[in-house]
Amino acid sequence: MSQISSHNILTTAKHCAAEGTEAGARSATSRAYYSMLHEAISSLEHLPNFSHEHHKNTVGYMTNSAECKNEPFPVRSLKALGFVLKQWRDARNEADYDLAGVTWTKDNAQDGIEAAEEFFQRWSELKTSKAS
Amino acid sequence: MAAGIPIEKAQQYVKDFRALLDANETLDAFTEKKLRVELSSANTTTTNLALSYLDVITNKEESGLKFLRLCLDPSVNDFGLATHYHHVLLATKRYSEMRRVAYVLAEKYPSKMFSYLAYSWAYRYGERPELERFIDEHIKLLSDDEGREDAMKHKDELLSEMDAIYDSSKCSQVQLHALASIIWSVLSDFNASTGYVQLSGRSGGAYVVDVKNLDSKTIAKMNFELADRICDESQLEGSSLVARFSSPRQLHAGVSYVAN
Repeated sequence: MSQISSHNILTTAKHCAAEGTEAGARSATSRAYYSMLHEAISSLEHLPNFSHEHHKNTVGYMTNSAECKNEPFPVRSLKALGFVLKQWRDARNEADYDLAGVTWTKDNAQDGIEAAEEFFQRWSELKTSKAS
Repeated sequence: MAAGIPIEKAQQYVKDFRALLDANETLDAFTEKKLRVELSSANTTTTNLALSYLDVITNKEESGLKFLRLCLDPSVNDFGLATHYHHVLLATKRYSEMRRVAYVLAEKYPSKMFSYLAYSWAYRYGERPELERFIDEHIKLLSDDEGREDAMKHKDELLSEMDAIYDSSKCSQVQLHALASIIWSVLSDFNASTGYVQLSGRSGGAYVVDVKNLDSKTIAKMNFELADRICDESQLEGSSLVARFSSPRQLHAGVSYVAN
């Protein structure tokens, strides 16, 4: 079994940002989003094994109180974290697909990295409060 | 002049206080008191204006705005006062009040500046008829050298972006309004200066605001705050709309015209 974690993906995002190129900045945003997605997937305890549309279905699961009611975390917190995933999926789509309409900068890349740090922190707090 | 202070001196105070406001600086209590006594010795529009700015830069915003809001009074017709009023609202990030008075100012003081502000707020709140109306008024006031042709192109860009967010999200105007109210209240609370505001059909309807004066760490906190508040808004339950703040983006589409 692979030992790669969401933290490894965030580290890659930081390497991409440090490259100092626009392609690196775009990749950093994309990797930062994926680090958040995988942090959520690995933290949720009853997430169904979706066969398609993992991104949309994971957000849908987190933001729908009926779907995530068996999770040991407050529904309200999951909903907000699901919305944050939606925010960064949108940023990732912009960074990955809109090459002509926008120039991606190191600050745009840093936004994603800081968001991911905060996202990891929120999950850490949720898991700590669940354990206590 | 027998009493009070010369108008030139009062005008200089307005200029100086405005510069302090723009630089986010204040005055010490001793200087403030001395200037307040000096300016209060006369009761003219200029000394009252200087006192308003003095109030604002010394953390008495509500008191300062009292005089400035007189420009909204039906019996007052003072374009200069209106521009100062708007300047203070913008500098103090009072976005809710800016939005509330944008159409009133554009109707009362027809001008390039206020028609621009009115159509910008119409766009930000998803109000299509007002967007069309005020951008048409703005275009009418532009010469060719001022970018009339670009502004006409920009009108199509803005309308098409607004149509795209409605089409993609299938949201109602009430929902877009609720989303905009939350977005602009977070921006006010974080004292954020804004750059581009972009509505799009991407991701089931996206509303992105560039933040010019804050770092990525603070922008991340703003995005979490935004997520928290949106999740608490029952009108947005089940909506596909997404909203986020971003460091300034260098956009190459949808930005054919920017008013000066």
